[in-house]
Amino acid sequence: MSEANTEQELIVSRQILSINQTFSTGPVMGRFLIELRDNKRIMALRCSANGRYLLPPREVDAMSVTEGDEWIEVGPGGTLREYDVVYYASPDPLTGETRDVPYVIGWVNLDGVEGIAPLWHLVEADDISKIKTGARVEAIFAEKRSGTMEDIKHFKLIEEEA
Amino acid sequence: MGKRVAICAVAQTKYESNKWQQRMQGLVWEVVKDVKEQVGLGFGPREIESSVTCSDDLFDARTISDNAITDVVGAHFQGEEKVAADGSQAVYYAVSQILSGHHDVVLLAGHCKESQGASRNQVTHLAFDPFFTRPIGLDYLAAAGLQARAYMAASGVTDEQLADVVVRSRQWAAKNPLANAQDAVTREDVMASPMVADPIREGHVYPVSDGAIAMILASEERAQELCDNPVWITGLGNCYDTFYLGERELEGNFSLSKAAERAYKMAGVTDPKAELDVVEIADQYAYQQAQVAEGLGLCGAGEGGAWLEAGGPDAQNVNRSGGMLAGNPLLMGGLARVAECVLQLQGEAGDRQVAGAKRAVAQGSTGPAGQLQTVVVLEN
Repeated sequence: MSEANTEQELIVSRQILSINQTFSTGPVMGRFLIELRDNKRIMALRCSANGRYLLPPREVDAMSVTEGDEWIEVGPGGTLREYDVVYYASPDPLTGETRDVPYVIGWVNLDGVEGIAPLWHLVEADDISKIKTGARVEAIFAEKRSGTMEDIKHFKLIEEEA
Repeated sequence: MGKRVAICAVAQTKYESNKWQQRMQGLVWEVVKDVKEQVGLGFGPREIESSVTCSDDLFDARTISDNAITDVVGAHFQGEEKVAADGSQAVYYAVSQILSGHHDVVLLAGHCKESQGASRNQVTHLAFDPFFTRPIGLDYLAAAGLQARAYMAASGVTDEQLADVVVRSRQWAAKNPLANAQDAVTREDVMASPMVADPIREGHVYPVSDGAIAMILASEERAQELCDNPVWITGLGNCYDTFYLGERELEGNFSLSKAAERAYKMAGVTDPKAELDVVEIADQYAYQQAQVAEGLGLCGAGEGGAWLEAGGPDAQNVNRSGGMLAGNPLLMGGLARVAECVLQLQGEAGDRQVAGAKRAVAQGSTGPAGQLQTVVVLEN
């Protein structure tokens, strides 16, 4: 049986699956995105039950399972906690478009946040080898903003003077 | 069942064709918050100890989509498990968690936003295999068309009767504040609606719907503490039919009959024609109300047409909620039936209340043309 199989042509079927989606943001994430778009402000949602900051803001804090109730402006500066340098291009399945590599994904704790409330974004620097855990970064806003996370272009490394 | 499990609280969102105002998490939180408040419990030991969620990756457009919901259902630091099938199966699963002795109080939370994808039919198309059945254009609606043709011929169901099923659904839905399709229609309106999967007309199809449901289930001892009017789950049964439609007798009720037989045996129901006060059927399409009635034993096999003609739905209090035809999303179809049975048995069903209801049965199905069937018997 196994010998016969090695002689047989094995057919595969190549298909693209796609269904257009409309993802609701709701009143909580929606408010965060409106502030980015209209005011270039990064708003965290604080939960008074336990003092946690939620970034991005969500309807419910997972720890206390209660609603956040206080909007607080944070950033645009922050401290890089973790980062990852990505060297492979992950193409868009429909357009084949890729992003330039390497690129840096970072986890930024913004100024004004009490505790840990990381906001994930791209981190850029003239020399990415200078990106380190604990580095200072700053949000760079896009000129044209539409109410998406791309309204922040990236976080830029603030290089310390030698 | 040796020990007993009760449903202590139920909450449902209003069902609507496009709940664009909320993320799915917002919908689920609305109903979770409601049931938590009803029983006065938070999450943790001696409170809500586990959650069972019900959702579909393709409708949510996320892999392992329950990871989007865990924050909202208190899964942080404790268990959450997802049922990717009709919510009546999630009820079965939650009951099993309690009967196993692992948990005494379980939160069940389900959601589906059919409006999120551009087309519900595109989503259910992907339930079919990529080699043989997708290329010929099968989705749940087209599969139901095959079943409707076979069933109507076998049971003598007419286009007029199907129109009347829809007219009646809308009449009851008008008395159900949470129902989606509440506008009155006439027999002529339905019969003039265009064919979508002949013999299924547009008017025979449940409207695209969004919504969420939550429930609190508890062991007997805890249920008595948590609520004044527990509704007991006294029978459960399910059965899968084969995936390949061509291998099934589409006009029959192989899997539903088995599921009902198992649930009735557990609950001690010997004559479903006489012993059920409330019947809730997940009729995605009008013909299924009669076909499921046969499967549940409300009438004999092949007698669906005569049952409709004789006013069987009114006589046996079928779908006073308006049924799934009035608009619940997939996955919530059977769970909304269970929810309606709970309201009826608690005497909380408002203008559609069946006076003195003692025993109810809810049916839900998963997969094309009712592949997996689940039957739940409830009593007060």
